[in-house]
Amino acid sequence: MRVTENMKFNTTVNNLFNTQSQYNDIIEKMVSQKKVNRASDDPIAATKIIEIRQSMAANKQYKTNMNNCDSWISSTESKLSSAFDLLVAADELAMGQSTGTANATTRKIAAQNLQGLIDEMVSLANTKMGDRYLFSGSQNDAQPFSTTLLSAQIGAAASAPNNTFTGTVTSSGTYTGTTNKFYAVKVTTAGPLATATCQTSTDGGRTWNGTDLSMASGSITLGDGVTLTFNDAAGTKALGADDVFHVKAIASGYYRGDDAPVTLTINRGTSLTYNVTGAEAFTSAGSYGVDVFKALADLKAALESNDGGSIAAQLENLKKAQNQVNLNQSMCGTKANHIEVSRSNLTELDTNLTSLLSEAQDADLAEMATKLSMKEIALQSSYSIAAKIGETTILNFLK
Amino acid sequence: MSISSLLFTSRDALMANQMAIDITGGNIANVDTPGYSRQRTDMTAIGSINVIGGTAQIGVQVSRIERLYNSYIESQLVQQNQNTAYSDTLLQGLQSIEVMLDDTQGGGINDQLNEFWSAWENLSNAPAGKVERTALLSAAENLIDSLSSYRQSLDSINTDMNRNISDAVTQINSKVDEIKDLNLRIMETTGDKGDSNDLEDKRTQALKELGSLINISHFENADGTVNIYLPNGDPLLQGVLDQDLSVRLNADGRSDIYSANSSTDPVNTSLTRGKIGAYVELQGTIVPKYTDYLDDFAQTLATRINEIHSSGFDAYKNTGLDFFEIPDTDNIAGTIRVNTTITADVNRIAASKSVTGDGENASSLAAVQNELIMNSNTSTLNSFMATVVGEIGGEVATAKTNSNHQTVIMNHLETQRESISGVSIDEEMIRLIKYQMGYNAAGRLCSVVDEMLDTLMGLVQS
Repeated sequence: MRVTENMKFNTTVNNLFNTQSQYNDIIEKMVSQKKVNRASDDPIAATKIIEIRQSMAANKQYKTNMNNCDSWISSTESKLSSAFDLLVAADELAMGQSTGTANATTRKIAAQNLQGLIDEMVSLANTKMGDRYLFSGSQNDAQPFSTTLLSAQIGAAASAPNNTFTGTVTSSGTYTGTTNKFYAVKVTTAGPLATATCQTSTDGGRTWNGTDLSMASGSITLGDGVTLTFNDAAGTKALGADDVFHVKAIASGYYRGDDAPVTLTINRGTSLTYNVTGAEAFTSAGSYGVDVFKALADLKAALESNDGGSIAAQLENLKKAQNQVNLNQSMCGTKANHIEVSRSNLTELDTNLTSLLSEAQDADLAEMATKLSMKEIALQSSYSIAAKIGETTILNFLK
Repeated sequence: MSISSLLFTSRDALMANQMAIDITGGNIANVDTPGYSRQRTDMTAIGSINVIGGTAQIGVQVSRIERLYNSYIESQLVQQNQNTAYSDTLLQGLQSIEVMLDDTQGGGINDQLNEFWSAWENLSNAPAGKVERTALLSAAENLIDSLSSYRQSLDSINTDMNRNISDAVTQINSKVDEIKDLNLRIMETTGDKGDSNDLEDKRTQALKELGSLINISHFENADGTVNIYLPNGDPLLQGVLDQDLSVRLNADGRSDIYSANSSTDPVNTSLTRGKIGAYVELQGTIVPKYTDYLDDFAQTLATRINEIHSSGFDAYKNTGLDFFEIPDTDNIAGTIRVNTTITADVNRIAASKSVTGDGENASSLAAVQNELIMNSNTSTLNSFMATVVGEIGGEVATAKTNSNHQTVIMNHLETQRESISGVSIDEEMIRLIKYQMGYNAAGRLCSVVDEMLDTLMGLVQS
């Protein structure tokens, strides 16, 4: 084969470029300590890296969520534990005053002591964490427990501020429900009352009744005796689609909150109810069926009326109340445990993800260093050859 | 025969060797000229005379100057140049998309998406929190800023391609023009004495350069001219008649290329090689594909988030609005924005599932990250974008391999061509020595004849 000057130069230059680009590639990997510096270095690994990073970001968020739950639960637990202590104190007080040695004076003093315990209990049950009440369920608009017995009532009807409807809405009726509820009405077909339709909800809008109701009569019956009346005498004020009206109904008792769970996502697809509602812990909706505040109030009334029999009768209720509070306290422990298990699972998963990420992305420095020195040798020999191409020619021999 | 005719023999020999040295000199001078084919003198004996027992040749002449080349390799070079220019240009274009979409080092759209989900989770922890609401709004705005900047980058690649295509068309037309001129001059150069050698070298080189721009087929006519055709059969050059390409922007803002033959149907689809083939593919297929991915992503994100968001309640207990707005459905990723009512008042973010002010709707919105809503319900939004990064990475990796492979082929062909047509200084030096000796010997012959004549004249005088 004829070999020309250009062939020699081209071969040398091409190979030099090849070696240099491989050398450069290794240097990039060593400096960045990553074997995937751009998607084309390894497209499959690139996809994997991004997905692993997403899982890690999600895990980080789950851990933040768990920390929030944790502090909520531990403060719930400590409040319930104090509530239990208060009930034990009330129990001891009642025990002492139920015997024949007690008299009207001691009972009067005991009643005053008991009022102190009750005040303490109300303040415990109304504890706030951040700007939310520990025991009010999902509601956050008022203190969950009242110091006085509330009779069943239906709150004023409210209309959302950005509603199209400018007429008035009023609520009416006598509430017959046993739990506190938020009723909501949402307009599904816009128009004047005569043609508009709506759906109703008994759980504040989480779920709807599913069928469109005519609003032509001007009033909507929401159940348990609650009725909303839309007043548009002139018939000119139209309802807009998605207009929302709501009304709160409170059952007789001391509790103003609701029995809705408050949840947080603690792992992919797993959410945890982390609150204890005031209803479960302190009202007759709880598992032992004792209204704690009513039991305490009854005891106080019995003490004030110097009625030994009635005082003894409350002992049973106080025991149940202790059990009810204690049960909820132990449920907090269960939840804290659940979180602990999830947390250790997540930590383990994180460790695995970190090692997967490193496997997909990090360069093996020892291997790179070896390759680098091999390429250095190749590069040096390429240079020394390049320097010699011009030396061997017939011109050196022509004198 | 006479002594004086020996002088003519000597003159012919001097001229022939000088010519050979001229050609050798030309070869040496063009050792680095791209496309140059080495030349060689063909010498033949002339002037036969009858002598006792037969004939003898007593002169020499240069019958033609031969150009050494292999037409198969030359046409292979024209063909492979089309592939090489195509794969190199495609690689560059894909790399500019890769740089933009690449997210393996973090900080890209996937991270923004993760921040967006986290912001919803944080809001569900504190549904009444103004800080959490504001943080969510800025996370959402960062996300769509990324989306629209991706979209703008793709649009600017499209604009670059329009400029590139129009430049390439201008270059193609001027190359065809150049070849037409060479055709004309080659046709005018009659005979086969090697007078058109340099013109043919130039034309072969111009064809290679044309091949690096566009895919063509060419063949040589009997009169020495070449015809050039596009792959669909439309002529670019027939002998000395050239037909220019033209380019117009279509309604989509992309370049349509028309041949002189068809001014209504663009020839884009037949341009599959050369730089322009890569430009057409990037503009017509690759960029729109990634634009569609972005639009698809933005549309699905907006639809799903809006669906859940509008089923909840905001901090004022209003029904939730659409969270995202898409003002221009032809440019979803570029124009998607957070509902301006929400931007103006973060309390309009519907974090609650009921009118009690809970945070469950935010929780449901955060859970969209695990929903299989992309790719006909087979992947999540995050994994879809991860796949897009993988896809462009794969395309770049393939293009790199093709480009490297093509470089190897070209190097091989160039080496073959060099081996046949390239100039070897060693060879030329040896030829130079040979022709110098021939020239010296012819000169010596001349002086011998001169002496012979002197001797002869001396005989007459004495």
